[in-house]
Amino acid sequence: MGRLFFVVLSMMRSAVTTIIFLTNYLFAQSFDFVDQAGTSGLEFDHDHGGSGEKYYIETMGSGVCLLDYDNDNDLDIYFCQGASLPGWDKAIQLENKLFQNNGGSWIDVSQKAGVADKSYSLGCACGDVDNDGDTDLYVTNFGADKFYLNNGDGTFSDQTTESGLINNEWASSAVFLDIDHDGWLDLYVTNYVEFTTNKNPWCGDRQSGRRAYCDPDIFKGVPDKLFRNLGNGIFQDISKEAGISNHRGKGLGVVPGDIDGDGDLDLYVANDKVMNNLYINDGQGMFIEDALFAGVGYNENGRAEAGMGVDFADVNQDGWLDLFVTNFSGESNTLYINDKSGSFVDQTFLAGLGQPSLNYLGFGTKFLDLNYDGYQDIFVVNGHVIDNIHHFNKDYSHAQKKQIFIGDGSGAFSEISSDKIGDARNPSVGRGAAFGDLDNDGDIDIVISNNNGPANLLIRSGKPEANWIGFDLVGKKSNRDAIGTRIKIESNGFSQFKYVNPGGSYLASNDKRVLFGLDTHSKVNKITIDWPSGKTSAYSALNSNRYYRVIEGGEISELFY
Amino acid sequence: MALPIIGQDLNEGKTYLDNKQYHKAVEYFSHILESAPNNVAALNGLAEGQHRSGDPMTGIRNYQKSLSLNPTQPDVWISIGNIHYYHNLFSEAEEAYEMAVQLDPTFPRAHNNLASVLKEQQKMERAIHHFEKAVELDPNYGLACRNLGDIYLRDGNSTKALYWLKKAVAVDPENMRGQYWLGKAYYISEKYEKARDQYIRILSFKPGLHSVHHDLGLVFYGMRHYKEAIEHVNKAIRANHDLPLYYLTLSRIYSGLKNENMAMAILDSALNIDRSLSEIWLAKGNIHKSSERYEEALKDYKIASAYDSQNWKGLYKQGVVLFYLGRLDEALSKLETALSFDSDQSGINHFLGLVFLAKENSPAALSFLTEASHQNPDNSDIWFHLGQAQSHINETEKSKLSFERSLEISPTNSEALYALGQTYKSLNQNEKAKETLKKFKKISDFEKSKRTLIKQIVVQPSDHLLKEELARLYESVGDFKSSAEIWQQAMYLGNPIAEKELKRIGEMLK
Repeated sequence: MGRLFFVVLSMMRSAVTTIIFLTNYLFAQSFDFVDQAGTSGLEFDHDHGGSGEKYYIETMGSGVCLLDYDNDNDLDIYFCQGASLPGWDKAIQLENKLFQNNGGSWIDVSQKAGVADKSYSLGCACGDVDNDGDTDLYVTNFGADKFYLNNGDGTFSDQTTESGLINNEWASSAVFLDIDHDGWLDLYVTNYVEFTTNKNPWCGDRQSGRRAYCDPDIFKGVPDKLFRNLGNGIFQDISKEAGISNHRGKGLGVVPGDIDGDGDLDLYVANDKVMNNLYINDGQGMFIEDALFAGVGYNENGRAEAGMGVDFADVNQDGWLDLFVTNFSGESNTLYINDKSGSFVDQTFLAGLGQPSLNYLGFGTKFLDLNYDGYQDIFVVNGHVIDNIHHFNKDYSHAQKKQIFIGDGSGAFSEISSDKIGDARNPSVGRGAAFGDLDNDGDIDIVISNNNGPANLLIRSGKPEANWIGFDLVGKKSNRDAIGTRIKIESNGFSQFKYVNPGGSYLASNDKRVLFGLDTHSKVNKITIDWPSGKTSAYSALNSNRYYRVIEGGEISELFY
Repeated sequence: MALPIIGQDLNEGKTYLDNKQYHKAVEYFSHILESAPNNVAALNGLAEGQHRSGDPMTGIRNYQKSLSLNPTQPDVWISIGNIHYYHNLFSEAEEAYEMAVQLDPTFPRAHNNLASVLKEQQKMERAIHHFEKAVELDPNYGLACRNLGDIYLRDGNSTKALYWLKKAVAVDPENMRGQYWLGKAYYISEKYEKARDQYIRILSFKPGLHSVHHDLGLVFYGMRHYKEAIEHVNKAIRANHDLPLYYLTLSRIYSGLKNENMAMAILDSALNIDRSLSEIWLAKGNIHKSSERYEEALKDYKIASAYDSQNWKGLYKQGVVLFYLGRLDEALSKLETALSFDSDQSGINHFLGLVFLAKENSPAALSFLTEASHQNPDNSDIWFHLGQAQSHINETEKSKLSFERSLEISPTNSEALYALGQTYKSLNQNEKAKETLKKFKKISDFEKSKRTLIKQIVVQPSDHLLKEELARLYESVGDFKSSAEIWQQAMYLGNPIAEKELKRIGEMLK
C-alpha cells in the first residue's frame, strides 16, 4: 500500500500541471453534431433480415458510401441493406438505397438510378474506374458482389459480369486504388469467412442456454481479392500473382497508404481475430505481406485482435503515416506509430487510446481534424455484435456511444466527454461510417449505418470556428479521382500532409476531397502535390476557408458551392 | 478386584492400564499409595490412570511428585510432555520433552516426541535434527522414520521423504499410515505408477478406506486415466459423502475433461453439504472464468470472499476477473485489499501491475511487476509484463533482458516471443528479430487453433472426434505429452482408435 501511494502520488505531482492544462483545453471544446436523419428525409432503416436464429451475417452490417453520383457538387449517400434470411417474414422489400442530396434534404433515387440491389449487402466502394468524370460503385455482398458503372446521366448499369469483377464470397470492405500507377483504379476486396445459412451452428452459453452470435474462430477465413483495371472496362483477378490469395485472413477493413514513403500505395487489411495483413507494394502492383515483421499484425501482446475499421494518418507530425484499427470490446483499439521506416510500434496505451476503448466494440473510424488545429483527431463508431451482451458482461451494451479523441500532434489523444459531442453521444449499434462535408461548409459530417436500426446523419452545426482549406483533385495522367495523391501544405513553418483516399473506415467510402485545419493561419504559404503519375505541382499563397479544385498539370481554381 | 497386599508387585495395576480400565487402575494405585506414599512406580501408574480417565492436571501433579522423589525418570517427562501435547500446550510439551532428552540423550522416543512438538510449532530445522537423532539412535524406529518422511514431504524434499517413508514401511510393514504416506510421497513426486501400486496395496488390506480411494483417484487423474480416476473418487464419495474435498476433486477431473456441466453439478452437490466453504465457490468461479463467463465468476468469487473474508484468494480472483471485465478501478481496489492480507503473493502484485499497465501508469506498473518478479522469479508471464512496463518507459535494453528471461522459463511464451522479436527489431537486430518472430508465428498459430478447438470441446465435451483433432494438433507441434493426454480423454469418451494412437504416441515419447 505504501509503495502504491508513493507511486500514485509521484505520478500525480508530475502530471498535475498537464492535467489542469489539458482539462481546461478539452473542456473548452465541443462538437455540436446534430442528427438530421429524421428531419431531412434520410430515412434508412437497416434490417439484418434475422428471425432469432442468430445467423452470423446478421450482426456485421452494414456500410455506407458518400459519392457525388450526379456531379452536382454535393455528396449523395448510398446505404447497404440486409436481405431476408430464413425465418424472416416482414412484409417489406429490402434493398440498397441511394439518397440524392437536395440542398440538405434527401430523395430516394435508388430505383431510378438502378442501384437498388436486393442482395444481402455489406459494404461499398466508390471510384471513377473508367476516368470519365463520374463515380462508379462497387457493392460487397454476402454472395455475389455487384459493380455499377455510372452512365453519367444519374443512372448506373450493372456491369458486374462484363467487368469481370466476380466475387462470390462473403465480402466486406473494398477500396479503389491505383496499384501500379497506370492511371486506372484497381480494386481490393476483403473477404470474411466461410458461412452459409444452412450451416448455422449454435453458439452461446450452454450453462444458461443463452444463444449468441458465433465467434469468428469457428469459421474458416477466405482470401481477399485484388482486381487489376485493364483500362478497357475489364478487370482481371490478379489475387494470386499479386501475392494476396495465399493469405487466408478474415478481412473486415482495408485502407491504402504509402507506409514506407516509396511513392506507391501499400494496403493494410484488418482481419477478425487472425493476424492483420500489411501488403507492401513493389510499385508494379505486386505485394509482399509483411505485417508480422512490420509490427502491425498483432497488438503489443502478440495477440491477433478483432480488427474492424482502419485508417492511416500522420498523428505525430513526423511525416510518416501511422495506423489506427478499431477492435472488439475487451481489446483496445490499436494505434501503431510508424518508426519512420515503414515499421510500426503499438503505442495505444501510451497514446491514451487504450483504456477508453476497452468497453466498446469499434467499427467505423476516421482520422480527421475536428478542431482545425492541424493535428489529427479520431472519430470512432461503436456497437456490439452480440445483441444480448449485457447478459455476459454488465458493463457492455449492444448500442454504444460514439467517441471522439482529440490529438495533440505528439501522438497522444484525449477523449472528449460525451456531453460535448452533440447527438453523436446517442448510443447506437454502429457499423459503417462515412465521413465527408455534406453541406460544403468546411467541416466534416458523418453518416452512420446502424445494425438493424435507423441511420444517423450527423451534421456538424454552425461554421468552423477556425480556418481551414479543402482540395478536390482531378487526375489527368493519374487516375481521375487522384486517389493516392499526397498533398502537403505549409503555413508559417507549420506543415501537414494528407492523401486523397476515400477508403478506410469500415464497409464505407468517404468524401474524396481533402480537408486541412489551419487553426489561426489565414493563408497557406505553400502547397505541394505529388500525383501518382510522378508529377509534382506546387502552389503558394492560397486563402483559407474555401475549397480548391486542382487539375493535374497545373490548373487550380476556387470552388464555389 | 482383590485389594493389593503391601509389598506385592504392581502388575495388576499395570494390567488395568493395559486393558483401559483406568478407574480401576486409579483405585488400585491409590490404595497402594495409602500405605506407601513414596512408591514412585505407583505414583506413575496413578498419574497415568488419572490422565487417561480424564483428569490430566491431577495426573501431571502426581508425575511431578514422582519426579521430586526420583528426578532421573526421562519417561515420566515424556508422559508429562504427552499430556501437554495432547492438549495443544506445545511450549509446555517441548519443555518436558527437552527435560527427557537432557536426562537421557540416547533415548530415541524423547527425540522423536520433541521433534514432533517442534514440528507443530513450525520449528522445522530443529524438528528434523531430533527426528534424525531418533532414527540414528534406533534405525528400526518406524514412527520416527515415518515422521521424518512426513516432515520432508511437507518441506518439499520428496527425495528424502521417499527414502524415510520407504524405510518406515520396511521396518513396520503393517503400519497403514506409513504405507499411505509413502503413497502420498510418490504422488507428490509425480511417480504415479508407484503411488497407484502403493494405494492399491493398502486397499487390498483395507478396501473401505475412502481417503485412499480419493487419493488413488487423484493418482489416476495425474496419469490421465480418467475412467479409473472418476471411479475411485466416486467410491470415496459413496463411502463418505460428507466430505466436500472429494467433490472438489471429482469436479476438477471433469473440468480437466472440459465437461463443465458435470463439474458444476458436482460442486452444487458439495454446496449441499456446506454452503459456507469458500473453496467450492472459488472452484465454481474458476470454471466460469475458464469459459470467459466473467460476470458469473465474479459472483462466485464474491460469495467465496463473503464466507472467508480474511482470505486473499477470493479478493485476488475478483480482482483478476474485474481486470478482464475492464473495470480497472474496481480491480485495483480488490487487489489492493488482497495485498493487504498477504503481501507475499506474486499473483496479486502481478495483476496490480497489469491494472496499472492498462491505466497507462507505467511507473506504477513497473513497481508492482518488479516486486512480483522478486516473489516469483520463475513465472514467465510476470517477466513478460515487466518487460512491457520497461518498454513503455523506453528502457529497451532492460525490457529485452526481461523478455529473454521470460523465454528462458517458458520458451513457448508467444507474447514474450513477439515482444522480444519487436525489441530486436527496434535495436536493429533484424536477423534475430525475424527468427524470433517466425517462431512466434508458429506458436501463435498453434495456440489459436488450440483455443478454437477447446472452445468447441467445452460446448461438446463428449465429442471424441474433437479430442482426436486436438491430440493430432498437439502432435503436429511435437508436444507428444499433451497429445497423449488428449488421446487418454478421447479413449475415455470411446474413441475407437485412441488406444492404438496412445501406444504409437507412447513409443514416440520413449
